[in-house]
Order: sequence, then C-alpha cells, then structure tokens
Amino acid sequence: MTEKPVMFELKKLKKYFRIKHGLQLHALEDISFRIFKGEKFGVVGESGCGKSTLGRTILQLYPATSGACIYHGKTLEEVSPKYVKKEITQLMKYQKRAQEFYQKSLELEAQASALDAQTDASKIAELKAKAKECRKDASRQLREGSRTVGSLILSEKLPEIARLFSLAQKESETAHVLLKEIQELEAQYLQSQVSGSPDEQLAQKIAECRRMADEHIAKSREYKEKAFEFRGKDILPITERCMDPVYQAKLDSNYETGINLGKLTREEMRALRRDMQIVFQDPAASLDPRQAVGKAIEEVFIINTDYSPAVRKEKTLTLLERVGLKREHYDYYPHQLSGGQKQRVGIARAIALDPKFVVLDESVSALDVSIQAQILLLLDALSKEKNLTYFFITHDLGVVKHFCDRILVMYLGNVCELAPTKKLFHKPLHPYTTSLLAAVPRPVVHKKSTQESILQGEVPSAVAPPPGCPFHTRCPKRMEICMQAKPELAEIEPEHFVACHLYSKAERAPSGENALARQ
Amino acid sequence: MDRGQPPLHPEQKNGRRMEKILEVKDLVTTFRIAKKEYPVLRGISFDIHKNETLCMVGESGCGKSVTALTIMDLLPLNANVVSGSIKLDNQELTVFSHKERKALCGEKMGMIFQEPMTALNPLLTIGYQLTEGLRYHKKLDSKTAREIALNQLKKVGVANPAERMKQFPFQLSGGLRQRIMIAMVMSLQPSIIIADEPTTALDVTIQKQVLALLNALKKEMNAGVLFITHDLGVVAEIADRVIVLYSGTKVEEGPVETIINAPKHPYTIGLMNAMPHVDKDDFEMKAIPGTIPHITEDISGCRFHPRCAYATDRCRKEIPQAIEYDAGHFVACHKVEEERR
Repeated sequence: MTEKPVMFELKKLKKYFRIKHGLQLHALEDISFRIFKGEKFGVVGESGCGKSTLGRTILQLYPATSGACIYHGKTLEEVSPKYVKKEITQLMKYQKRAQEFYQKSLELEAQASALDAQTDASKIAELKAKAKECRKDASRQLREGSRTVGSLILSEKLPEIARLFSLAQKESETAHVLLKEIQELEAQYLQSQVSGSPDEQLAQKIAECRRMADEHIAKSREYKEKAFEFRGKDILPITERCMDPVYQAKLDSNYETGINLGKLTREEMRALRRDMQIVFQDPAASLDPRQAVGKAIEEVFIINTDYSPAVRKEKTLTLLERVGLKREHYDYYPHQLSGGQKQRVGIARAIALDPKFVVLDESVSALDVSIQAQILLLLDALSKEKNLTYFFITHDLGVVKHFCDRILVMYLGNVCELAPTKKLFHKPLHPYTTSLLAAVPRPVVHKKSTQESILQGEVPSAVAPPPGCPFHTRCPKRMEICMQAKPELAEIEPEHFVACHLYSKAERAPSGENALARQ
Repeated sequence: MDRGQPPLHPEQKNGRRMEKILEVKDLVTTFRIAKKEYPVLRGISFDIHKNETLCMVGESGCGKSVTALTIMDLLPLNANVVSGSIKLDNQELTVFSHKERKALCGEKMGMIFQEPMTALNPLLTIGYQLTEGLRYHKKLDSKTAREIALNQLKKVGVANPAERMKQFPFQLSGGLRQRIMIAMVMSLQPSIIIADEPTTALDVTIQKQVLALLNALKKEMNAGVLFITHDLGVVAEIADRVIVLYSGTKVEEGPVETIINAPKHPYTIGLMNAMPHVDKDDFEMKAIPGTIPHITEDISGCRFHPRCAYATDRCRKEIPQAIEYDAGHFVACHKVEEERR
C-alpha cells in the first residue's frame, strides 16, 4: 500500500457537552481516523450522530474534551507554534517524572512483597494497585514527551537532544517571521499589479524572502535529523518496557509531525483558519440580509489579509465568476438570489483565501435536486482545480456515493464503519450501514414488501448512551457480547474499518490502534 | 410496502369504477406582489380516488404547497383564487366562505406539514392538541376525545401514549412529533389527507417508518392521499400516481411506474438524471442548467424552455397542451407531441 499524504489525523477525539444537572452529552467518543490530502471524505449518519460536531471540532470551533486533532496541511517549521517551545523545555521534566513514578512503583511493589501474603492480603492488593497506577503515570509522562521527540524521550542524551530541538525551533521561528513578511509583500505586489505596473523589485524581494525562509526551514529540519541520530542509542532503563523495540516504535509513532490544533494559541489558530473553511447548510442563514454579497465576500479579505480595496474588489469579482455567478451580482442582496446562488456565495467565501481543507456541513441538503447537482459539480471542479480536501457531512447516501472517495458512518458519536465508497456500498459490513442503505428511498418501483428491512426504534439519547455497542438497542443481529463490550474499530479488510463484534471473532491480528497506524 | 396493483387506467380498478374523492379542475391562484397580480398556479387539474396516493413532485417554488394550501383554504392574505373548481365528494368548495369551508372540511380533510415542530403549538400539551379537533369538529366531551386520542397514538406506534399526552412538543423527537401530527389528522377519520413533505425533515430510517405508517393508515381508512415531495425516491416508494409540476403548470401525469421508469417530459427526465442513485455505480450526475423562474418572471410559451435542451421556436411562443401519451399518462411538451405524430 502506498503511503498517501495525510491532511488530518484524529487521535481518540472526544467531545462532551456539559448540560444541566451535571450531565454530559457524549457527542463524540474516541474518534480516530485519518483524512488524506486531496480526498473527498464523506461522513454520514442520522441527525444527532455527531457528524456536525465532528466537523466543527476538527476546525476547533468547539474545543475538544480530550484527544488530539493533528493538522498536516502545513509543517511545524512553517507555523512554529509556541506550544512546541514549551514542550521542549518540559522534556527533561517528563523524563525525570517518569523515572520517579517508576521508582515509586518499584518501591511499592517491594513493600508489597515484603508483607505476608496470608495476613495482609488486602494491603498487598492496595499497594499493587497503587504501583500499577504509578506505572501508568510513568508511561503517561513518556507518552506526553514522545509527542515532541518520539522515542528520543528515553535517551540518556536528552539534554543534548532538547538543545538541538530548541535550535531547530529558533530557526523555524525565524522562518515564520519571514513567511509573514512575504504575505505583506505579496499584498503590496498585488496592489501594484492591479494599478497596472507590477513592481518587479517587490517580486524579487519576495523571492529573496522565500529563499531565506526555505533555508531556515531546511536548517531546522537538519537540527531535528541530527537529534534523531540518537534514536535507539543510549536508552535509559526508565521503565521495564524501554528496551523493547516495539515500545520504542510505539513512542515514535506518537511523534507529531503535524500541528496539534488543540494546543495553539488564539492568534496562531486564527492565522491557520485561512487553511480550513466551512460551508454551512442554510445559505440564507449564513449571509447577512443587509449586506450585499460582494461585500460579504470582501469581508473575508478585510479580516484576513492586508489587500488594498482595489485588490479586494478584483479578487471578489474573479471569485464570483469562478463560482458561476456574474460580476453584476457583487451589488445584489441575499434576498435577490435563489437558494443555489446563495450557496455559491457561501462557497466563494469559503474558497476566497485558498484554503486546503473545507468542511461542507450539509451544504447541498437544502437545495432542490437539479440545483444540488449543479453545486456538486461546481464543488468537484473546485477540488480538482485547487487541490482541496473536503470533509463532506451529509445524511444523503446517494450524494456521498457519487461525490466522496471514502465514507465514514457514524452512530451516536461513534465510528461504525470507514471504507472507500465502492466497498461501503457493495459490501457494507456494519449492520447499521446495511439498515441505513436499505432505508434510502430509491427511484425504483418495486412491488415486493420491504417491511422487514425497516429499522425499528429511534436513536438513543447521547446523554445516557447504552452500554456496550451503541447500536445494540436497534441492531437486528444483536449478540450477548454487544450489550457488554464496546467493539473496537478494526481493519477487517484492507482499508475497510468496522467496529462490530460480528467480525471480531474472526482472526483479528491488528487491533484498533495498530491498524490505524497502517492505514 | 405492499401497494397492490396500481391502476393501469386511473378510472378503473379491479374492473369497477373507482370513486373520486377529490376533483381539482383548472385551478388558478395568483399572488399580489407590489400591487400586481402574478399567477402561481396556472390551471392545475387532478383527481384523487379513494385509497389512492397521488404524489405531487417538483422543485421548490413550483406551486406544490400553494396547491395544497388552496385546497385547504389556508392561503396567505395576498393570495387570490381566480378560477377553478375544487370538489370534495362531489361538493363544490369554492362557492363557500372561509368560515363555512372550515366547518365543512375541517373534518374531512387533514393536513400534515413538513416541520412538525412549527405545526404544533409549543405551549400546549400533546394531549390538548390531539383532542382539540375531536372536541371542535365532533363535539365530543374531553373524556371520550382523550380515549380516542390515546387509541390513535397507539395506532401510530407511539410507546406509552398516556405519558406522551402530558408532554410538550419540544420533549419529543422529530419522528415522534410527526407521528403525533399523523395521529391528530387520523383521529378525525378524514376522507382526504394532504401531506406536505411530511418526511423531508426526518432521517431516512425514521422516514421509512413514517411512510409505512401513512400507507397502512390510508388503506385502513380508505382515504385519498395527496403527498407532496421533491424526492423521487419517496415517490417510487409511496405513490400510485404522480403529477409533476413546474412553475405552476402540470407538465406530466401518470402511474408511478411510467413516471419513474419511462418519463417523457424533459423536466421529469432532468430530475431523474440529477438525483444521485444509490444503487448505480456508473451514474453520472447531470444538473438541469439554470434555476426555476420566479413567479414575477414573464416567460412566453413553455415555462420550461429557458432550461430545456430541446427548446425550439415553437416552445418559445406556444404554450404546450397536455396530450394523453398512454392511457392515464399525460405530457405537456411540444417535442413529445411532435414525436407522436
């Protein structure tokens, strides 16, 4: 399997909403998957399954309760977020704490074994539990550290490694400043272009800055590579697992090459927002009725760029034409446009800043079929032209089938199935997917009764989700185990992930996490 | 869903004449916008028979809902029914005043709306709203009305109905609310049910449940159903006959098999091609260019010609008349008519 470049990586993403009486609404439960660059990733499920929450949590419009959302659209070197610097200074602490916790657990175990097994049984159990807790703490510390440096967290030479990493960080900070400067210069250059005399000096200056930034980024990478030469050498026996190459590989897989969006500061996230946009379901509600649509699009530039008014207007007019509207529409108000046209404005706003990732939250659901097809064709053309990655949220299986490359099926905040479109439609494995497919009304007149394929009941409350598999209350193939244990997401066939006990009896060599790593 | 053998000819079923329950003829409704009258319905005619589901299909703005509201006499104040006749059980309705119609039709015609949340009063309990019709139209005392309502709730598949009667609409899920709406309509035993996109706001699994329920109740009460939708999948599932509307005119009418499998009007064909098909792999989505015209737009000849790939000069000048292509299959298109010649 060739390794596809990843755009987003979700690691055990959880989102709970606190509601009254101290109750929590479990909107997302341990969601882990990857979105590849340039793919059209579809998410389907009934209302209330958490698909919109997922889209918004990825965009950091909702802060995640736990778990990580890692963005690979830009490199760490380009963005140089502040949290990395902080993490580097913490590295020694992580290592030291891990050692302390492990020592403590050893001490506790020693105490336990010194006691008499007959008389102090309860105390021994207590000590052992404490020891276990300490070990967990130790590996937790190591895991935290490994996010920044991978298995190097185990190295004896950690101070040297931390030094190299902070040097790398300094280089990338310089690069980041340069990149910001480039943005400003580009705005000036565009202005000169619009006024008719492109400033060649500026163009040269931009090229110069870019070259310098690239140099710094390369240097930063060099430092990191140097640091990684320590990999597998001089390993401190912090815990008993440290010498195990499997464990080391696991720590290495924790190493974050992307940007952990949850840890960014407000300003950093704001700067990154240019890369990730959203198009909403109701085009009328997402536009200000008292603002001309041209102004609505221009607002994006006013907020995010330093473009001069002339540049902004020119860009807006080109955008209007690109999404299939006319230049005259610049002065139209939303009520003068039809639903499809309003949605085109929404799309123009979303693609204005050349994003890399666009969440389409039921963006075609409110449109008539003939208009829906127009908008889908437009989105398809845009994705090819601008190499966009789509996160397409919908409840319409017909639309995902013809629009998306891979599809994620969600139920009650959990992932049921994740597969390439063809596989999902030809061989749906999860019983929920099967019933969902059966329920889609088809434009085929068939006379035989389909009563038995109707899924009974409704989606249970996410405040008190059922124990075990969340779907067991409605599942036609329910077994004993479904009521007790929650099935893990596993790769049943290549690229086909399912969370269902029906398939767990079969040989399941790679369990959830490992399988994902191979994805 | 067992629909039985749909009639080949709408007038005939099992060899005997089917009873017409609702007859709509040449209905013209106009809206007044800025002191000018604009036609929204441009002469719509159709019949509904007992135990028959007639689906009305079209994009938003084509006049589906206005047809329903005209029949129910629920039009907004700036609307005006210019001409046409609506006969319920052979009784002409258009001659009556609003008040008289309310008394006459309230019982016999029931309407299910798209958004159950907005159709139910958020301040009143389900029980009160369910029994209101029974108390008002059937003049029942509240105890009897309650019992009938409870029974009706059971019939539409609501678990622990006694509990539900005490609840308010916001405490129920979308599917449950729609069931309440259906129960409310059914408790009066209407002879005609008008359902305006009753499942559009529901999830597919719930939609399937609601469609099955509607179908079962229709059969039980021998009622006629006017089902408004834009989803051709739903049409295939529930309809006996279909009419396709475009911009206030009926462009095609026929038995469901014909409309789904062998549509003739370019607009109906366009709709079929634009709908992503779940079962087909090599399906290529084709959009209908342009948008549905606004009612204020004046289009000569066929209303569809600006979006039609086959438009000729004749289409631009002359309004096409419906021709009977097959028994019970009517098409209003110059191209189809010319091909038949």
